[in-house]
Amino acid sequence: MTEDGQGDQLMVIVDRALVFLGRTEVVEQLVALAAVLVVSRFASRAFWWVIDSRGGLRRSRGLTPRRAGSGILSRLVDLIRAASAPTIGIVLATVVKREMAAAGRVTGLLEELIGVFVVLLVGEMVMTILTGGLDPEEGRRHRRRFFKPLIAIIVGLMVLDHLADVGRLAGATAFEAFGSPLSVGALFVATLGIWFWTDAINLMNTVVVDFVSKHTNFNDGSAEATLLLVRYALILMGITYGVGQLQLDPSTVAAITGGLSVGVGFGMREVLGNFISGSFLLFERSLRPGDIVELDGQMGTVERLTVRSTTVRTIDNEEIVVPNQRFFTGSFKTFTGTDEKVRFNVVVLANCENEVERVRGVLHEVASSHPEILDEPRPDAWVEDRFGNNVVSYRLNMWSASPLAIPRLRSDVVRLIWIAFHEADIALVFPDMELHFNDSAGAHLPAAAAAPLSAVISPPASTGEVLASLSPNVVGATQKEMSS
Amino acid sequence: MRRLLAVSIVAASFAVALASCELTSQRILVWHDWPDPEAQVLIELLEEYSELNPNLRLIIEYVPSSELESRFAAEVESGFGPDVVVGVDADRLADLVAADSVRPITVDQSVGHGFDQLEVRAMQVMAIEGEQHGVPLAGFTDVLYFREGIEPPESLDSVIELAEAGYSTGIPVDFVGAYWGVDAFDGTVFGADDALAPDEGFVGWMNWILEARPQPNVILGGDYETLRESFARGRIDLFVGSSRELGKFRSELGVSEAASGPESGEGAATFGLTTLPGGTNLAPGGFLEIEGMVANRHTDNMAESLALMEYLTNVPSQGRIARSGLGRIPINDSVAIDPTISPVEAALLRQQRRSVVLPRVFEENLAGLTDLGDEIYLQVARGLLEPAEAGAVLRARYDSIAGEIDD
Repeated sequence: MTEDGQGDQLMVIVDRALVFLGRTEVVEQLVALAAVLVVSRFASRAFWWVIDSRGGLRRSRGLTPRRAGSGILSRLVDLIRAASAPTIGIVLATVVKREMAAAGRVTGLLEELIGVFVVLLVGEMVMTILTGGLDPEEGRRHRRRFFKPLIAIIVGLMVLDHLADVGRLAGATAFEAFGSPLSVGALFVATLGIWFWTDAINLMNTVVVDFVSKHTNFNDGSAEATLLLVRYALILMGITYGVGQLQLDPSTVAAITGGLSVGVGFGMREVLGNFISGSFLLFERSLRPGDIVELDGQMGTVERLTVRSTTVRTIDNEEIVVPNQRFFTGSFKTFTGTDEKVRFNVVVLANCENEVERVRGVLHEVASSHPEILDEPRPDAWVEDRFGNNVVSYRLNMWSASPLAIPRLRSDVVRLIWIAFHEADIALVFPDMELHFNDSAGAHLPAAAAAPLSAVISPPASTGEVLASLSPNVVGATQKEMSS
Repeated sequence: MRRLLAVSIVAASFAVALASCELTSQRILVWHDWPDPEAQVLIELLEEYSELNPNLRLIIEYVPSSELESRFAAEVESGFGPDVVVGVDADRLADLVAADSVRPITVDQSVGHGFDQLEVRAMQVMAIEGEQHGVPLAGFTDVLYFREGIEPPESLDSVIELAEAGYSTGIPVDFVGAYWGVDAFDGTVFGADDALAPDEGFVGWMNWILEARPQPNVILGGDYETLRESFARGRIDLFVGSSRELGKFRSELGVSEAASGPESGEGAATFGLTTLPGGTNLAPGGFLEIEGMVANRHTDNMAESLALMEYLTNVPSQGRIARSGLGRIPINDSVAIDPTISPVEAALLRQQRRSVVLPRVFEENLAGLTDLGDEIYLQVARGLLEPAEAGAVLRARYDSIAGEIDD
């Protein structure tokens, strides 16, 4: 005989299951339910296999690539695909339920199955809409970590509701901790509840960031930092609520955590330091996702800012994980603190026989003609120096709206200067080379080195080759370097 | 892989639990709505029954009274639900029968007393359209509670005399709760065809209410809970209320061991209960409320379920329930209680045997009638309606409602 004992809840569930499995009405429904589940799953898969094999509707993301220029259509296809299995399930379950009811059979479980399919349908639609714009892997991750377990738990609770008194089961003591009895329900909330809450918050955060960055002019770095703060606040609220459900004895917890805090403080000093630094960075907003910073001479974009570390993605697509303390206690260069405009320059060495104002005018024209070089502040060409050997050095100062575009802009400008000087008949300074060969050493040179001079040192075959041989920001610098 | 692992763990847990179960045992799932500590006597009886039947495994679960019938009906709809429900109110049986949730009781299947010993009226309450759909377990009816040191009144005149002597009496005057007053004047409100037909007894009762109204110590109230609370807090000395209150009063006021007057000494009562005071009829009865048991429509343990119901309604079990001091009155006619040993239980039994069963037609078709009756009572108590007119007004309203239903 089983009564209110808390230790044998599993036995009660098994006993109840045996009671119900002895009833014809229950067994009939379970068979019908299993058949509906299997058939609806296979019918859905078969349907899409046929459609896909005929080159029909393609997924926008995920298994097959998105069709170019068909965003709304692809989303619609995604929705239809997501809705197909639950819809087939609803139809099938309804038909079977109707037939069974007509035959005078019990159909309550099939009614519940239809309810589950409806929940699944709505959930699939919502998840598809929410994750439609995200990276496919991100979307799959949220489905795997949040949606599928959530549906599994809902179904599990529905099944359990028939097999046990869920309310009493939730109130049963699982074990004691810190002198307080911990109920199954409280443990459920404090573990899975916090898990789902955190993942739900993360999902909403990802979706909102994605939406903000794509559909608004709002500075997404600021938006992301704000959302990050909101996210942590909500997660903290959830954790506080979840842990509060455990109803631990506050004095015991305080005594134990107080004793542990010294050891934990030493052991986790760095972690706590990073945590506090991260919190200050977030609150001060001195660093935000999307900021462009320079670390150890490498420029990169701040990808993620968490309470422990900051992830910076370099131009070479490398991810650098930097502990927050480094940003908080040291100095770093940011290109996006209050203003994203950055100045850069190109040094040009021209023959002194060229008229200085003419050269400057050409350089101005080049800078002004590039659409990505800002008009304000205006580009300016300075005469930097006058050397012997008929060389005048010019520095063309320009402004870019994005620090990350500078290498590309610099390349563009060098190329345009080369063309413009050529068209304006402005002579650049070319290298003068004087080579001395030691006859005795020449005997040991390889065959190529011993070849006639004209064959070893060839003039550049094209403009591109010349540019490629130059330092990126010094046009004509080779002469200076080589002659020195 | 992880999914497979999870399924394997669940399956293994279930298999281990299954292996530890006695698969050969017969299992009966029982729901009841008796809260603690009332449930103690029921649990003990069920445990004893389980010991007497080693091949039977009883799974007993408590469901709050407010959810009992609705949850049962919802579970049965899916083929689930308990085999037996203990504590179904008779006035909710019709709904369960309409929802096709309960299996009719076939007395031929019984293996014991065959329910022959049960009070016929109680059995009838658990039958619908001639078919037995449940078995009564216990009854409740109205009784008179009185405070320690007061000689309880035997007649309504004595109530007024006590009031004049300074003792206050709380009498709920609503249609159902004050029906005993009609019986106290040898009257009825039900005609031969169970139609509402207040007679001279009803008028006599209304006259008494009018006579008692100026007396400040006779409190004729429409709010049952307020009067109950007043008695529990010692603001009034006598109170006409349901026997359901006995258990609560015992925990709130102290142990009662007296029926005709509180005893003194160790375990002395601070209150007592007795039968209701009479008018021209000195043995009036109120309505009888029945708490019963039903079987799930889908149970495959009908014989075992019936046997369990028989066990709970046999003489020893009924005696145990009666003596539990919770105000539950046995419905087994063979139960005899010695008034010198158990005066309270004996008084309850006496009162129950005088009680009246509310015709089912009123429960099923005229739920609004009680509201109507309540209004008439209050109007008489406030002097807004003459007693002689009250019966006629009630009858006219009833005819009007019945006419609407017939249409």
